[in-house]
Amino acid sequence: MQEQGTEEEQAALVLGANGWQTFFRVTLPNIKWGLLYGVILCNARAMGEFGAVSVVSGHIRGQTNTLPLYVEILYNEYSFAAAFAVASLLALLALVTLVAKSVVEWKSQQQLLADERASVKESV
Amino acid sequence: MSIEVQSVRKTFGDFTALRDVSFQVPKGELVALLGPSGSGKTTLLRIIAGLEAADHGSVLFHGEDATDRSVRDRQVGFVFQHYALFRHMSVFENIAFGLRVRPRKLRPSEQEIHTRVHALLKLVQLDWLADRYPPQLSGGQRQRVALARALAVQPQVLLLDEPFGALDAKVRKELRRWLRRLHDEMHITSVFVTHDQEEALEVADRVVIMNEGGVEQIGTPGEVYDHPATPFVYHFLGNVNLFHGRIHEGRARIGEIEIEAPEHADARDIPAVGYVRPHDIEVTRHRNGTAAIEATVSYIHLIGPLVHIELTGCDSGNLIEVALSKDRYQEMKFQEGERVFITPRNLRVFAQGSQAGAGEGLAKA
Repeated sequence: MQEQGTEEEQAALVLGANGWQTFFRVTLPNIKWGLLYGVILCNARAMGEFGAVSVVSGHIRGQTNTLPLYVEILYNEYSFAAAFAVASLLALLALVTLVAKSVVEWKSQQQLLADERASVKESV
Repeated sequence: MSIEVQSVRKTFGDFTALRDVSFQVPKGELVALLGPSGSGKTTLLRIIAGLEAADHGSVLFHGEDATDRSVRDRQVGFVFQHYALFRHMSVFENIAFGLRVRPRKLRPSEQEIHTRVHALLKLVQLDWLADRYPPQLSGGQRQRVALARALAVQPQVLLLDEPFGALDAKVRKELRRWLRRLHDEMHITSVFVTHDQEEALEVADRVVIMNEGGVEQIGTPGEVYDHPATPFVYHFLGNVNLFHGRIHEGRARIGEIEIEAPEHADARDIPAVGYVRPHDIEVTRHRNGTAAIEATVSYIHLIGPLVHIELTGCDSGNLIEVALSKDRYQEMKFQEGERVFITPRNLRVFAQGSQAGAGEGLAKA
């Protein structure tokens, strides 16, 4: 965002847009791919959370539990079939996230390239 | 709508960007703020637009104080140096933006927006580009889209920050003529910032020359070029020759030449500098009874419509530049190394060291 500067926002203000309009029509569209990328990475990190939840929130079943912790509980209860099912689900989610991440990464890369090309054109 | 700037001051930390700048722009005029980089011209433009707040002083639109009005309520059109087009919107949407963000009551219908945007695109001669995106346009095209976007909200005042700064020389020349024509059609009060003196003198009705945060001179292009008020303006607008001398009781003495300098009547033998434009110097082979400065021709440059001759002053050893018409040169046929006599036709004397001590005197030739 810092790299993009504030000129577009200023242009929107001069044209009579208020703060919300400037944010939703100008700022957000410009940062959307970067933002989405952040959300996906954050989500992936949250899905795999184990230690912190186990220690801090007490891993109460059905309330404050994560998938990896659930796998542990099931395993300790000797319900292997359920444990492996949840583990597979987790692995599947990881694959979905990976695909989503690659798509978004490709998209934001494209936008960066377009911006770069634009700025090169400008400076020539 | 007329613009009035009253003793505006602005500092950034220790740096004084503007010091008590005042000037007026009458309704419908095209005014250039001209100055070297760092002279505060862009800051001044941003203060007029409301993008920057002045530390002191006020900005009046149409005689009304607009200092505390927000950017949105000032009804100005602003064209940014690097255009600041919305890169995720098509050209059409860029221009329509100002209309679409209006409160629902004031917003024109979709149909009306469509006709207005297309009228503007026609005006800037780009109606075939409506669906393109900014990164796909050339610099000159982007510039015109930025202008159309600024005009879409029907501003009372148009402000342009170095409008042609990022373009190559040819496109620049075309665009500035086009801007001049556009201004003559629309008569919208406009202020543009530039560091290119040629651009300012060619396009503007009036020029405000700025240096180090202050105004040096305000006048029509003819006035500022022919009658510079300060040494700075002399240096900034075109080439100039310097002759060192002294002033004493209203008379300046430069070499053999003596001229009246009535505004320095109370000066007691102080050092002074005479300023002469290269085309205001007469070169002769013989001393024809008048006081003249002796010099040697050191170099003759024949390219272009004028012949430029470099001379070396015999007393001072200073370099003197003279511009002659081709006809005059053909008539005289000066040779390199030749001894000649020069007399300035239009010499202006400033006391040395004083920027403000302006005075004028014509050489008695």
